[in-house]
Amino acid sequence: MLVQPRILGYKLGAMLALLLLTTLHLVVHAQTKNVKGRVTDAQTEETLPGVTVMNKSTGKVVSSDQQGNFEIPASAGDSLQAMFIGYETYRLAVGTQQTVNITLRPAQKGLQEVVVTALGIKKERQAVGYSVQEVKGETMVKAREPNAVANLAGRVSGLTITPSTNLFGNPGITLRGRSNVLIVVDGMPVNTDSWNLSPDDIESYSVLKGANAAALYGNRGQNGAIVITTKRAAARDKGFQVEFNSSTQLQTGYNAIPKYQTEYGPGSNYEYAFVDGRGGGTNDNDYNIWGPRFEGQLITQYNSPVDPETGELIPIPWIARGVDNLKTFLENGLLSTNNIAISTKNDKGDFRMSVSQMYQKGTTPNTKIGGTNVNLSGGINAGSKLRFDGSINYNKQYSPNYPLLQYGPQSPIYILTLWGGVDYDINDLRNYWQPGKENVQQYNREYTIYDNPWMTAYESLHTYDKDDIYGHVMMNYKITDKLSFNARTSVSTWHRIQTLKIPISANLYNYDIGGSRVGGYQETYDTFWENNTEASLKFTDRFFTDLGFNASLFANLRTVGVKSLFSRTDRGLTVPGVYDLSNSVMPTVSTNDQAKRQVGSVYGFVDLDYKSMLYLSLTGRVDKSSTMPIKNNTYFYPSASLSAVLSEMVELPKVISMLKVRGAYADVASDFVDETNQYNIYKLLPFYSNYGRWENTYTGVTYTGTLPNPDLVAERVKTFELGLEARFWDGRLGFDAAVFRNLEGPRIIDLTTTVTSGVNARQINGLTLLRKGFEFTVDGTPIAKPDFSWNVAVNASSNHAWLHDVDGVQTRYGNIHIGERWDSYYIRDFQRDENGEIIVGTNGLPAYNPYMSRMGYSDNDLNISLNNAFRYKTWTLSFMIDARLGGLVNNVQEAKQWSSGTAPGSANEYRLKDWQNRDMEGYAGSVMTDGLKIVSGQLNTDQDGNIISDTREFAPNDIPVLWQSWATNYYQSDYMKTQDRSFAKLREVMITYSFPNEWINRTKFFHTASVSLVGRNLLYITGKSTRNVDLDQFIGASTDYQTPSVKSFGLNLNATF
Amino acid sequence: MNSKIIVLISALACLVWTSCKKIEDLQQDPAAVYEPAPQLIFTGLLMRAYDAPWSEDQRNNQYMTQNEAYYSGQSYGWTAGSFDGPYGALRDVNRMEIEAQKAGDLGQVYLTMAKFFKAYFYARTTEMFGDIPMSEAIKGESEDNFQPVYDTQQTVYGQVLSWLEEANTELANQAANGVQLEGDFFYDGDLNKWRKLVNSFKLRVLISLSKRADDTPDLRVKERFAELLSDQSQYPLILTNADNFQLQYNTINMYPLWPSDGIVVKRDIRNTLGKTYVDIMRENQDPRILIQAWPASAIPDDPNNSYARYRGGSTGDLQSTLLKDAGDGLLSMINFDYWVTGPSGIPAIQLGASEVNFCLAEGINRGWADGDAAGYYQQGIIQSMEFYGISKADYDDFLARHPYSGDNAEGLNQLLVQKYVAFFENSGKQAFFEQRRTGVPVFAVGPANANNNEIPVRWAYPTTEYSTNEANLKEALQRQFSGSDTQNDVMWLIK
Repeated sequence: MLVQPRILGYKLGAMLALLLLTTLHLVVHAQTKNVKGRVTDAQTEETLPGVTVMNKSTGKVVSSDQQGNFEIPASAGDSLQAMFIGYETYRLAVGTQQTVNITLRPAQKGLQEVVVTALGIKKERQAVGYSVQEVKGETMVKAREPNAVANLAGRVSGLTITPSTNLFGNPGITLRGRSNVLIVVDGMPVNTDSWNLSPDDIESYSVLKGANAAALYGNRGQNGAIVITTKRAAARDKGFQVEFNSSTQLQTGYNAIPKYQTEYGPGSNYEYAFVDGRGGGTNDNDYNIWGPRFEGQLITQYNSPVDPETGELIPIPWIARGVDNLKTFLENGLLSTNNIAISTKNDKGDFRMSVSQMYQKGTTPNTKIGGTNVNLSGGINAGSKLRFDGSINYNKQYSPNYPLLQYGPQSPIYILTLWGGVDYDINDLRNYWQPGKENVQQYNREYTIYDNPWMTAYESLHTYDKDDIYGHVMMNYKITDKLSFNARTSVSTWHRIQTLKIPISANLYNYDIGGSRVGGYQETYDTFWENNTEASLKFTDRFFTDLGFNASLFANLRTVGVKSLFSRTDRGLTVPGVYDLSNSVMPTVSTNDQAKRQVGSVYGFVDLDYKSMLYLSLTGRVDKSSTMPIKNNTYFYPSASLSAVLSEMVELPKVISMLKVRGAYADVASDFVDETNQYNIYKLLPFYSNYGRWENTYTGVTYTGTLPNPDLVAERVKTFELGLEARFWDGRLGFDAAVFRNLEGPRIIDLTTTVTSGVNARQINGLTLLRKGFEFTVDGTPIAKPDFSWNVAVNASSNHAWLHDVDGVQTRYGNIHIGERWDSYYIRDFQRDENGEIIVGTNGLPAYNPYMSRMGYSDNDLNISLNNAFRYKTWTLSFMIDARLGGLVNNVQEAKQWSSGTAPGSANEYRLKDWQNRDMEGYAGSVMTDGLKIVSGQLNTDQDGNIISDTREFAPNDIPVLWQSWATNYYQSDYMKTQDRSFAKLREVMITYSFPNEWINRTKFFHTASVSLVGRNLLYITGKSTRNVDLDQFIGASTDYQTPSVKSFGLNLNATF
Repeated sequence: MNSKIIVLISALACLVWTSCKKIEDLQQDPAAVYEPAPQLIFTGLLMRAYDAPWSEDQRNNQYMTQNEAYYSGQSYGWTAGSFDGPYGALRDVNRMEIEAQKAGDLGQVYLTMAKFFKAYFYARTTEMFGDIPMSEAIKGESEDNFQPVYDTQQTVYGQVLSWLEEANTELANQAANGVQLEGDFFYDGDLNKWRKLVNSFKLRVLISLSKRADDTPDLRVKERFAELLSDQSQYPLILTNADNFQLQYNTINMYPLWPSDGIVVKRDIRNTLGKTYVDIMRENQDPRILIQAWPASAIPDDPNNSYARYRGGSTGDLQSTLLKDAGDGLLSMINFDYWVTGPSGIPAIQLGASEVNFCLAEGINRGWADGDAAGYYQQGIIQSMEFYGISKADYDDFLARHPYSGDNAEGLNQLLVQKYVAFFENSGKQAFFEQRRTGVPVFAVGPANANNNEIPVRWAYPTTEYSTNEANLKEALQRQFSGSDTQNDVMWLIK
């Protein structure tokens, strides 16, 4: 009953104020007194600086200072209004009092909820005209991944995180189908490999999905941004607060591990006999696993005893000794993280210090990584108008040895699943040096390519040491209530040393040491430096009470410098076991590189809001980049976004508590530096590079095949998006839907040119993709009882790109024609008859088309995740499931195993038949297709598949083929490699017990305390052909070799006091 | 307070100002070479002008077989070839011309070298594909021509022969004037030897045109041959091994077969000799095979015939068969004690005296000019024998057993077979091209053949041409093969 008249009164008052403002200005002035007051948070009782206090009767606006104090002229009867984002608006009528204390209540979810937007500016959700989704840091510190970014998987629609299963593997980040997403910490871009972000220090992650929000960040924001806000000091009555978080997880149990057959051993054509493991025997080196069946027959093997009389090896039974070699070799992993943070805050300022320690033991023997993070942040209130802020984050990452799992003998996957063979028990190789030949000769079952994995694990060490620092200092000076000046400089820098030891006798052919099996040592140093220095002016005002105006102007200079030095031994180590550059047989080989660049920028924005119902935001930015051709190195780009809160404009059914539509357009330009390849920035001038040396006497050079282009202009991404947000039942249920359309380009590309022109590729502004997609999120609280509640959230998204234009001339780019999906998946298919049956050639093996055909697409069709949280009293159960559905992928693991002979399906009746008939004269094989064979002639087509002539003559196939030939051909074909890439994961399960308040209060020590049982990656569900690989890690058209993916189980302790 | 702020802001402004660099200084890579001396480009060209031995080419020549399917094989299953090698080299030839012009008189010899290399790379390319871009090629940077037309093979060969003749004339002058050629790890700057190479290469080209010698008067194939044959002061040739265009590996740039840890395993059942080659050698009782290869270990010794134990694997056989036979000791392996005694290995001939002598013999045999074909036939054999260190007594014996049958079909076959023998593991694809042109020797085809029991006769154009130079490509395809583009289309050169 009280509410209605008051609102009416305000409306009247507002109209009156307008009148007063315009006509009775002087009169009003004459009757004023100064009302003083302080603004505090109703829940935390902390003082709130920067709160806008307005005398609605006079239009006078002030804001509270660092201590929350304000002073405003007002007369008795005037209406005061205090507004602060994230809080409900507070209104009161001035009576006779001289001081008023205002307490602001935090806003309800979804209505005036605050999100962090570009440049770290907080806005009410309803004021934002583009797509942004926020994740609170606290939700991600309990069931942890080793790094902060990997924890974002499944939490944000449109954001795809591809966490690596490899120890120390960087997770990939893709936002709306684009990678190289900018990471911003406290308003400043940070160079990150994702390991220098300490999850315990992060207050929130705000994902700005379109180019819109990021239009202010310059070219690096083109692909969207993740804006991280770190925790700031919070004051408690005791004067300081301590936060503590500890998490320990055991990593064990496999989600995806390659399987292999255990029926046949190494060799070819069922033949194997060890003599020296170097080729002196029968298929005894660099072998396939197409050898004899394990039937206990006598064969000379690596561990055969030597006949003392003849000196020859004595044959021993041929049996499967190492059926579980891979699992025997691998160990359980462990992930442990601990954080403690102390903070304090008072009138003069605030300070927070935080120390985190991360330790992870890998599942590959003798591998581990550590990370230490120290974060200091604080501010000084120098009087009521001036504030200094600063933060520094020091991060040290170190690993005495971490594994590399790509294809090659350094990888246990290569050694044990691709080219393994189970004829030996891996435990028998544990003493990996031959007696008396320590550091000189490994003990193994083969000596040219398949190294003893224990030797690799314990001797070929791969160290990593990185010191990473980022931080900023900032000054904010409030010139007037409406105008403030800000100056800030930030640095992101790191220095890294990596070393690699290669013992003598190790093949490890992926590492370049100027020879095989000769031993070697490598060191790599590199450094990165980036500085952003920025000055800005900010102006805030309100006009006519209903029109808010907020504008800022910035000037920024960004400088980036990188340097590296690599050196290695050449042709071996002089003294075995000594890993030092001076121990090189030939002079060491060194290379270095460096690059420097800068971008100067002026940018700004204007935000207008009308009556809390209509919000318009305009941005503009001019960059001047040193890497662009001088005549086009300055470029402008704008963005605009509009948000209309329909629920404020028209009367809607009561069930709808908020309804908002939004639209945004952005056009972001960028230079052509690939931020992941900082050295490759000198692209404007043609140059010669070294083509090699002959006898260290003659040096040759070669001219670049890429033709630079002095007319290049900046790359563009134009985004248009529409969104609809609604909340129902007082915010209990809400959804946010967005559709977007990106015109990505023209990019700056090296357009492949016929090399006959003397140019392999020429730089042009070309290649434009059209990308369309949607994102959809629903969150709701179906049950909200005092003792029981249920929260649920769903994220769904999809996007695809189409080739829109190449250079205005070419109608295709590689296989892809204009208008066709960019992720089209092309393969060389079999020649087929009218019924689609495979045609074989005169050799009985599949005949392949002389052209490529499209099998489908490699993008997922839908990414979806489901989060549930149930709370019963002080117990909470939450879990998250996410899935990426649809799309094709090339599964390399299985295909390679068909080549090597270890594929589980390869040990079948055909193989057995060939084995049994191996010595039969004239036996040609067990496999014969029942289709057609080509008798003579050719299918002549052009490479687009147009048939020029077809002189093929067919007959029913009567050509038997050996299973080994068929398996290594048919099963390694593109067609057979192609698999559906759908999968789902039970990503996270967490049961938390929070100690009840009564207990907390009784301790007179804790503020909050909880214990959680956590699990991550507990289930992995996928199709039959992709169970050997954790698809989570892959987003491109192909998988790669990886560490078998494991589940994590653990315990988390969290407390503040 | 205000003064503090002013000081702060001024300090900040100074920082920004001093950290700002001149943009021009940031646009040059401090590590890049922008203006090299022409000899550096010349050396780079030499590095891409040779074919290494023991390659897939040599398996396609049927000298060897690869018996392990994982490492490819000899199935003749190729389709498209690549333009990257030759045209990448031609780009550098063009840059060598540009940098040589800047060098004035000192650059003249590199301009001459450019003519030779243009002839060399265009001839090699047209031989693989058919018509290729030439007249408008390498003009992307200078004339913005990114879609050069394809020239007919006939046009290409006409231009190639002119370049070679110009190079011969210019080298004669430069050699006489003592001009310095630097960066030359083949001939150490000896212009007389380069001149011999230029003419010898011209001879190779003329012989490759044998099927077109009658209907291309403008190419003057026979006349040019006659000039080469008759006037060797004007057209000096590589007639002895001392002048061979060959690569000598060294301890830094090691021989392809040399293992970097120095441990030579003298057994290799994956790489065995090819039947096509070994059968000729065994039949002819050719002493070169005794040097090149080892007898098959499981074949019993024949006291009357030291060649009886040499067996090669048939290129047409399944690799599983070959590997099994090799494992059973039924196939010959290379003689490791000859080929890999050190990191320098054996010189890799690119264009040798033996080939030149056989070319002269062939032209005479075909009646292009009068001359002593038998003499050149013998010299072709002798130069090859001497390369392997065969004694005079032994090769005299061989020559006595295999006298030249005269300028007839039998004589032609003889010298083509001997030419094939002399190409063992050298000169890249030459043996393949010669066989394609003449059908000598007969190449083995069998169940391993992945081209429906045919030996391909060309390489399809690079796939990238379809997206980057489509109109010109299709015109060339229409003109040559009615639009088809496969490895089996027969090009003008060998029709």
